[in-house]
Amino acid sequence: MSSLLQISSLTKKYGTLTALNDLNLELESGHITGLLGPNGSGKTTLIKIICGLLTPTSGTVTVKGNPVGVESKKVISYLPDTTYLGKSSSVEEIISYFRDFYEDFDQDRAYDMLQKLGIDPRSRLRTLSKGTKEKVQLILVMSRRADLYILDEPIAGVDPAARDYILNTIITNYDENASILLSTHLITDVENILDEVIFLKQGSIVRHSTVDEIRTSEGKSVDGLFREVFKC
Amino acid sequence: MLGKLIKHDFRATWKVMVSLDAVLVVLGIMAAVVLQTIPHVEDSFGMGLFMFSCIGLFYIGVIAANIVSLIFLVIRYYRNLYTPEGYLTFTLPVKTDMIIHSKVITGSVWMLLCYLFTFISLVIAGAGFVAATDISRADLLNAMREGFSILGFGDPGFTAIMVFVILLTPFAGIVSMYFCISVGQLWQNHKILGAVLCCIGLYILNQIVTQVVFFASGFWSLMSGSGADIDATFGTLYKNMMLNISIVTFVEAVIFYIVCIFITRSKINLD
Repeated sequence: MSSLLQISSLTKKYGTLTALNDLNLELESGHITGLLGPNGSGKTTLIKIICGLLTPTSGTVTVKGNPVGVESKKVISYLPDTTYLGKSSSVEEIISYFRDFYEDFDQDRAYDMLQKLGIDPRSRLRTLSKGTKEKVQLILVMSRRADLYILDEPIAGVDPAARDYILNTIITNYDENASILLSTHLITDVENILDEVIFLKQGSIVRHSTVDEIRTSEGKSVDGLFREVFKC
Repeated sequence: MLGKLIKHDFRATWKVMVSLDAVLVVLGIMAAVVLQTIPHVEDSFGMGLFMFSCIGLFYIGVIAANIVSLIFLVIRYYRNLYTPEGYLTFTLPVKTDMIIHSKVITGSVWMLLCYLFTFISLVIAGAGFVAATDISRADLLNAMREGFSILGFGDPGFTAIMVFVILLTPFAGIVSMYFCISVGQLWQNHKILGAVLCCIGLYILNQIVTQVVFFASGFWSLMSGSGADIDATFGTLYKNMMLNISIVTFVEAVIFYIVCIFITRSKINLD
């Protein structure tokens, strides 16, 4: 197994607030990793730093040996926790945009998924519902043949049927040699697809182990352990 | 990658920007048509009032089209870089510098076209005015030639300065606005307020710099010049002033550009 993501002594401060505190992490290829923690634990901050959207206060992040930059962005496919596509664009314009910039973007796969969902590629994003926009974003992200998919709260705020579709899309569209880092607090829904989990608490990793280890050593489900660790 | 960024930026902006340029031409044509009422103005107070109101609206419209063009480009820059749209912009596998280059290039081209269409609009309105009055075209051309000569347009050096100024103005305008937006992002909170305050500060600074350049360019020599060589002195003053202001503006724009790139490259914080 090769190291895909390496994080060393990562700290992020917002004024006096420490969002990430001297965090160290290593992820290998070929795993689905759940980044779990309550609101404000630093999940999104960590993800944004890996994706180059936030500048860390200190520490280093490397993806396949490269610091955050052009090379790391080539291999990361990122789904943010919000709608991030221009409202005035049509779906096919955005597909053309992705095709132009990402060498690993599979346009046929994207159109195929759109067709299965009955989404007209000519429709403008402003005419689509919030749920449909999120599905379009997911289709774009999962149509790349990336090495690392980073999905920030992909199932938050959607109905159970849409959740099933999203999780199914994630599982069926990623290369087995790739990795997925999936942030969520809806653990029950994702527990079955996770290989390993990272518990993040107040900007620090309090646990990083495989799902099987948790089940055997703790005798609990990931959801059960999460409730125990993050009990209010 | 820069070519792709520019292509997509033009594709996303052309409808609005071309529409605004078309508005400028239409305004020029409307003004030219309204100016045909000049011969009847003396006959009717209402007609005169109508004509002057329309000309006033023409000028307001032309200024508004220019302001809307600039605001549209600045808002697009802000949205693309510093709202959730930035999640896509900054995760593209391109150097951050390229993103700024593409925004500045497309913004400068659109603003240059906006100025060009403003000029065309004024020419159309001016042609309408000439057609409606009994001003001799030969006299008008002579007067313009004389005026341009006083300003120094016959001198190739001055013409080169003016071409430089024409190309520099849209670039400097766009870069200074992008600079303000970028500086606003350094604020922990109230980033838009930070950008607005930076704009105000920049405006005040520019006024001071312009006044300094104005006086340093020989304003006093014009004031103390004799009546005989007043045209020549004015021409020299104007040439010096344009040269000095264009140098200062160029240096400012380059600094703003570098700061924009620095902030975007090393201080990016998309909350």
